[in-house]
Amino acid sequence: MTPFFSALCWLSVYLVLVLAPLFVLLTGSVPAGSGFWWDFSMALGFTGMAMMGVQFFLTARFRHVSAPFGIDIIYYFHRYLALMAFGLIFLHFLIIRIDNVEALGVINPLQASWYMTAGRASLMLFALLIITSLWRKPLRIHYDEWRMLHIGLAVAAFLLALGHIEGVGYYIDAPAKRWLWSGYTLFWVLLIVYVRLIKPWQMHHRPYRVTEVRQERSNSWTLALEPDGHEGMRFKPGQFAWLTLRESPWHVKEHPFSFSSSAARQDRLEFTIKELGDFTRTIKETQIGEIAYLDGPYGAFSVDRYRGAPGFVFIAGGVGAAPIVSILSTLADRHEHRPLWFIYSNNCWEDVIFREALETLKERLDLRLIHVLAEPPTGWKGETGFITQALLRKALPSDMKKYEYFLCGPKPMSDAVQQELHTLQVPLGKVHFELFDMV
Amino acid sequence: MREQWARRIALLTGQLVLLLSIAFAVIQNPGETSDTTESRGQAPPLERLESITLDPERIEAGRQIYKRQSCARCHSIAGEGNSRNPLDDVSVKSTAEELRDWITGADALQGVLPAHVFRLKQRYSALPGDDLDALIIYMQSLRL
Repeated sequence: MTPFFSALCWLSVYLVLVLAPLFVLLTGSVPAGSGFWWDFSMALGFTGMAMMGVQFFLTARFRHVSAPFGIDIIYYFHRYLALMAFGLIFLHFLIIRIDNVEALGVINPLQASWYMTAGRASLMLFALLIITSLWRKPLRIHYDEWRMLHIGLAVAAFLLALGHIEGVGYYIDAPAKRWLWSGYTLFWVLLIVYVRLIKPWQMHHRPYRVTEVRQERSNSWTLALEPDGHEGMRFKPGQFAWLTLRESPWHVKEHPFSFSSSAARQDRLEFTIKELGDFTRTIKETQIGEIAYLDGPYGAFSVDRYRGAPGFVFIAGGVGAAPIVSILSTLADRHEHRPLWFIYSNNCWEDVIFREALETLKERLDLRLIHVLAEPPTGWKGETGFITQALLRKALPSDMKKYEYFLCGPKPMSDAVQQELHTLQVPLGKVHFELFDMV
Repeated sequence: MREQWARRIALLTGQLVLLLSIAFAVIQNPGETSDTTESRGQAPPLERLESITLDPERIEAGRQIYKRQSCARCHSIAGEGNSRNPLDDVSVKSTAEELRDWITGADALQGVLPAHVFRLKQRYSALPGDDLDALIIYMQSLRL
């Protein structure tokens, strides 16, 4: 199936999951109307919940589901959908609060009925879930702690909301409706069991050993892993995987990194990691022989999706070159003949990670390598400053619109280059990038 | 590009859900405009007035229990609450004993009420006797 049809298929599944409750509400013995606003509010509550349920599915990292879209976009969608679903659930509450405050009863949990308290608590936990995700960094919540908090809050909010639905008892009496909600609940429980227990168990049975920890330029380290007792991982160049080090796969302490090695080799996988945060600062302490676990591969950022392209242009900044180097190494191993451009931006010459490796790749490929330095050394004859429209015009051929573009680097750089390419009339559909650092 | 599509699909879903929720509410309430307060606010016709005197303190206690038990989730009084089951004239139609049976889901009502309503009502049989009496007095006060 082509990625387009696959995407269409999954979008249909998504719509059915979200909209099913509304249609099933109208089957069987339907209670008489309780007024427009009342029933509107109930419908919003049910669909908001169905949308929240889809959230678990989106982050379960099913490779078949994420493949046509790219898992980064699935997470992005997860974030948008959460806001939308929360909006609906809040509206559900707000309408009753304005139109029919009596129906909410007393707020004091000691006096109120348990299912109304459950509904209120659920709404508050969903709000907390969103606040801690959108503003994790300003709130100074550590990434690993945030993940545990996120899972805990989501499951608690969800269970409380289910309790609220069951306790209130509207529209759930007919067998079809009971089946629907029991089915949804079972589906969510199985998803959680799969993601938190079965998947880590599978990872546990496919361990990797660290075989090399190599220092690179600019406080970066390349970690080489080899499969221990299995055939390794087949990935597309440009993809990434979640890496677990020094923890069991059940601890949910994993971090996403792009492969930097050639996809032609699945028995030795390399990740090049720059010291940027708490976890990445510990990479250099990794011992040879240590066990690592991988969940992957993921991502749609790959030249393999555009096999008919006449050539490729890569634009990266700093350690963003890691997936590009993986792509170039793979293309070299495949004896690629198409023209390639790599515009690589760094602060200074000494910071250029993969500097030597790229020179070697240049000899094996039809590659034009353009280094751009913000702080060039004296006597530097190459490009300086930032990647501007003028630089792109100069570095790229006049038929630049026909190539596929891959951008990877800090968000301001990626945004600016996207804008410049747009001005140069490169079609948006030919510009590919990955969205990282969403929480 | 993909980012924009993700945002668009999320927004479209939100709008679709809103529209379908409106459609659902309209289907459930045919012939009704979105403003239902007018019809709810009308006092019901009084048919079987009986001259009984009720203790104002007990009425107030009953009102508080009505509130605490979130009875308005399923019932309305003078337009406040769920208009599906108005209680304004309930004691005109029912005696105190009948009211007690309806509130607590007496066994005789099994099969008369929908199963989930019957289950919900049976929870109120756990209310202390005093509270139940106060609630009935409050119901009776509604017609006065």
